[in-house]
This record gives sequence, C-alpha cells and structure tokens, in this order.
Amino acid sequence: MNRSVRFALAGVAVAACASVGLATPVWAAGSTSSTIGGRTLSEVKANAAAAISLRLSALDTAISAVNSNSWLTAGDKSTLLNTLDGDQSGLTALAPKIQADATIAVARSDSQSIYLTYRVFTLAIPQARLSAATDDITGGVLVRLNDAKSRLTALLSGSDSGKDTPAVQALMSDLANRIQSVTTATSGLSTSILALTPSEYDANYTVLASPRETLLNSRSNLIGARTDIETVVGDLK
Amino acid sequence: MTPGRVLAAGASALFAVLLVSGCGPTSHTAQPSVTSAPSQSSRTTTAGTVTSASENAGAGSAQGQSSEIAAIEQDVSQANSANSQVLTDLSAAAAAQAQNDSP
Repeated sequence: MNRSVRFALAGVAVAACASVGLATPVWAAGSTSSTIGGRTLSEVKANAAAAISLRLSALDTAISAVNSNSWLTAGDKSTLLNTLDGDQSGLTALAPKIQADATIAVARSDSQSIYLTYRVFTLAIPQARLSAATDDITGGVLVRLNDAKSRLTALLSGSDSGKDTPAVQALMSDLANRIQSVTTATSGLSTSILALTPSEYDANYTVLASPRETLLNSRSNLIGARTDIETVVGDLK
Repeated sequence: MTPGRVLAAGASALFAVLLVSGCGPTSHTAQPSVTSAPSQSSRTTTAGTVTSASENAGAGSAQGQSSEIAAIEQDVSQANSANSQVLTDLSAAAAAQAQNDSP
C-alpha cells in the first residue's frame, strides 16, 4: 500500500471528524493546559510509548508470519512486507518524537497518529492475515485438491472404472462444485483486500467483514471437498 | 459501544465460533506443522502443474493405481496443512481486530 496515501488519508479523516464536531479535542494545538483528560504530559508520553511498543511487537509477529508463509505469492508477500515494514518504520520514528514533545497538546496530537495513521490492529494486520489466508487457499489447498481430483477422475475412467458407482459420481460432482465455488469466491480477493486503505476503514468499519466471511465459507467448502476425496479413495482401495 | 468496539466484539465472536465449530485443526486427519513449507512432490514441478494419472506410466496397473492413491493422499495431506494455515491466519486477523485501535 502506498504509505504516503495512507498518511494523507488519515489526516483527511481527522480533519473531517473535527469539521463535523465529532471529536473536537480539548487538547487541540495551542492548548496550554498541563493536563488533558486528567493526564499529565508524562502520562500521555507513557501511554504513547506503550501503544507503540504493543504495535511494534504485533507487527513483528505479523512480519514473521508473512515471511514463513509458503503459499503467499511473491507479489502479495512483497506488498504485505512493504506495508508492515513501513508501519514499523513510521512508528519507530514516531516514538522518540512524542517523547521529545514539549507540550501536552502536541504530545497528544502526535499520539493520535499512532492509531489513525496506521490502523495496525484494525486494518494492517488483518489485511496481512486475510490476504495470506486467501493465498493459502489459492496457492495451497486448491492446487492440491485439483490435483487429487484429476487423479481420481483418471482412475475412475481407467483402471477403476468398475468402481465408478452413482454414489462415487455424486461425490465427484460435489467435489467439483466445491472446488469451483471456492475458485470463484477467492478470485481477485487478495488484491481487493490489499487495496484497502485506513481511510476506507475509517469510512466503513466493517470493510473486512465480507472478505472474512468469504474465506470462512471457502474453508468450510474445502473441508467438504477433502472429505469427498477421502471417501472416494476409501471406495477405490 | 463505538463502531471500533462493535467490530472488535464481532471479531471475538468469530474467533470463538471458529474454535467451537469443529473447523479447527483437530478436525483434520493429518496435521503437518502449519509453519512448515509444503513439500513439493516430484510429480509437480510448480504449484498447479499436474501430471495426470493417464500420463503416469503404469497407471493402469495395480501398482500404478496404488501409486496414484498414494499421490492423492499426499495431496490431501498438503491441502490439510494449507487449510490449517488458513485457520491460523483467520484467527490472527480476528485477534488483531479484537485489540483497541482507537485513541
């Protein structure tokens, strides 16, 4: 994801909230209060440090998962690592800036960007994992099940043609339907997930719900497909 | 409840459903490590390249049939491994979304 776009859009989102009076902060720039929401400057800094640390740790885990995922396409892996690494770099640079902020208003304003600019938990990491799940299916599960289906089809039309009973035919038909359904459902899904931006998330907090539902349904279909294969194999033995 | 919290609650509920619905790794018959790389069968050169049974020498013999069955079972095992990774990734996404991500 283009990081500059994400930053710019996050800024627009903040401005939009302020313009409609949804979250006019008492700690707006220019405030001379020594506390905001009952918190001192040192407490704001401590909270920011903790929030950044939590996100850096989560990003570390997500990056490791992406790197060790053998089914991710090279393109998706590159895109995901670019996003996650960019978030890590941005948050790492933000941490000392907040600690050096001289006023509570500036510190609190900078702290906002920990959340609004990166959306680490609600978008970046879910994006990475949902995209990975899609590639797990398209590059892993579907390839193997299609291979198994081809082999079964060949056996049933060849050496095991005598075992191609109506029951077996029904299982093979169900297998083909499940594979086709998942193939259709996951086509282009990873690309659409990776294209989401923080601003799109801010405009629609359920933006990832549909892809997640698709993946859950696909996984269920794939388990059914596997069962079909195992049943037919049992009949052929 | 803020929209973010509604989403987080939904994600938590989803995770719970995943765990109790029998869709978890324990529903599989064979579970290779989800972090291990899928072994590439000698019968496939790249993902998606399939050597059909009809092209496989000896497929019409008893030995050929046995070999094909073994290959199919290997496919199922590898599919299980990948499908377990799907669950791992979906669960990780849900867990992340359950975190507070609002100022």
